[in-house]
Amino acid sequence: MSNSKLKMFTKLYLKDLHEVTAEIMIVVIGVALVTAGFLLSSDQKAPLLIFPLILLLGLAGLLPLISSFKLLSREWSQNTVYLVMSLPVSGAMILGAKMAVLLTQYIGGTLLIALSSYLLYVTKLSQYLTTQQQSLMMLYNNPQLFQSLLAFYVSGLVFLTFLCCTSFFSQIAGKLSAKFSGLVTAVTFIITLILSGKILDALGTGSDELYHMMIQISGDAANYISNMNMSSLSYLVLAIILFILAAVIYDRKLEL
Amino acid sequence: MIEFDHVGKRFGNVQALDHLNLQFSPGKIIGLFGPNGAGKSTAMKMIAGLNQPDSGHVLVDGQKPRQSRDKIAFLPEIDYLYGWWTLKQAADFMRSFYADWDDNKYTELLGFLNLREDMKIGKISKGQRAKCKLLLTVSRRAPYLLLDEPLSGIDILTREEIINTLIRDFREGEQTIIISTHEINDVESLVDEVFFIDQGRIVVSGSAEELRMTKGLSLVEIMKEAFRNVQQ
Repeated sequence: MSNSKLKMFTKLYLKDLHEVTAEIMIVVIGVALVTAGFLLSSDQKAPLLIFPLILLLGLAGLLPLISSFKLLSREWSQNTVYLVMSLPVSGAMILGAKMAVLLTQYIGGTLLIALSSYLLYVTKLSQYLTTQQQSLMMLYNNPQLFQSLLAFYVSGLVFLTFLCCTSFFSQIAGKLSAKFSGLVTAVTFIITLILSGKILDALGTGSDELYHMMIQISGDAANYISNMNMSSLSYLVLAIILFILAAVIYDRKLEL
Repeated sequence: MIEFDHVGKRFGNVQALDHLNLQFSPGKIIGLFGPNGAGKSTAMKMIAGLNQPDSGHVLVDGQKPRQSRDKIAFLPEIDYLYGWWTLKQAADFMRSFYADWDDNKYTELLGFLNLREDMKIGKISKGQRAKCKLLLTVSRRAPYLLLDEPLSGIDILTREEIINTLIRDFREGEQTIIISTHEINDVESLVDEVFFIDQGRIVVSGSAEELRMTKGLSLVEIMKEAFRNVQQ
């Protein structure tokens, strides 16, 4: 009786999730400390804790990219790649499980920070921010603003996916070189990012994204969401292409 | 059957395999012997699909090795298990991937090798790790069992346990075991067929018993003689 692909994927996912426990715990402990800090601090000092939360949000966005390098490179440094490459599964499943872990790390971290921010707002900030509160209430009253924020979050998720796929692709390409693996990885990573930027610029969906966001967040939300979605879609297509390339090289060219 | 057809492999300036031609007969215990750097591990990794030939081709039952990974149980020389795993976690992992995993065999061998499921791979001795690797490899009913230097750096008592496990478990005619090693003494009594390899080429091959009879020498002495001739 053959074993199910889902069961294999789950085993790979759980194994890789264990490998990034330290990075997950950094965000969890950071959020716990800040949350405890504002719950225990005086009402006057509590608003200052919004800055560490913003820093933590940046960390939650950055750590999965660092983990993407760690997850793959550790397989080689600890020789576990002999086990992984001997398994009767495709490179797409091996890399897919790692990608699922990185997305879990990102979504879990950012949602935790969002929850902490909400607690900070409800318990300490609402009394200071009467006007801001009103504008924040637009979240509930103005579905387009809510959609804009959602589009912004999804585009962050897609951009992270793109970066992680670039990381996988460059590391796998680097492993094709026996002597200068690190150098090839770094050069491939930078060149892939530059080329991707040029492709997106040529398609008209790339580097102007932030500019469009600044102009349009206060104006035409529907147009902003449309631009954001187009940009996300372009990054997603590039991410899928890079992922497929990495999986094909893994399956056909990689050697130990 | 495993076949090497004019297989060449080069790493930089080193010719690891040099137009290697060989066929491993099914259902036997086969010794792949030679000094360090002879090309044994390269050949083993090629069968496991971890390496690919520069020229020629390797076939496992008529298929490319990477398409036959479910038929091969490979035990590499290095420690390849996650250090944070317990033996139980490692076994659970393997069970999920291989339909030929045999729980009864695993439980039986666990006791025979004096191992415990709660042992943490990263915290146990080298000898115990070697036994864990062997346990996880032979608990599968894989048609091909590849053991790359399974006795390297292992004390004499553990060596005996490993060899006894292989003898105890071998199903003649059903499973092919290929043992690559430069420590021939330990496995001399185990192998049916031998291939002596040096600088990526076969220098002597044949039935272990026939070689011993015709030359009147042990396999260790045959290897010494063969490599002396190659060096001259």
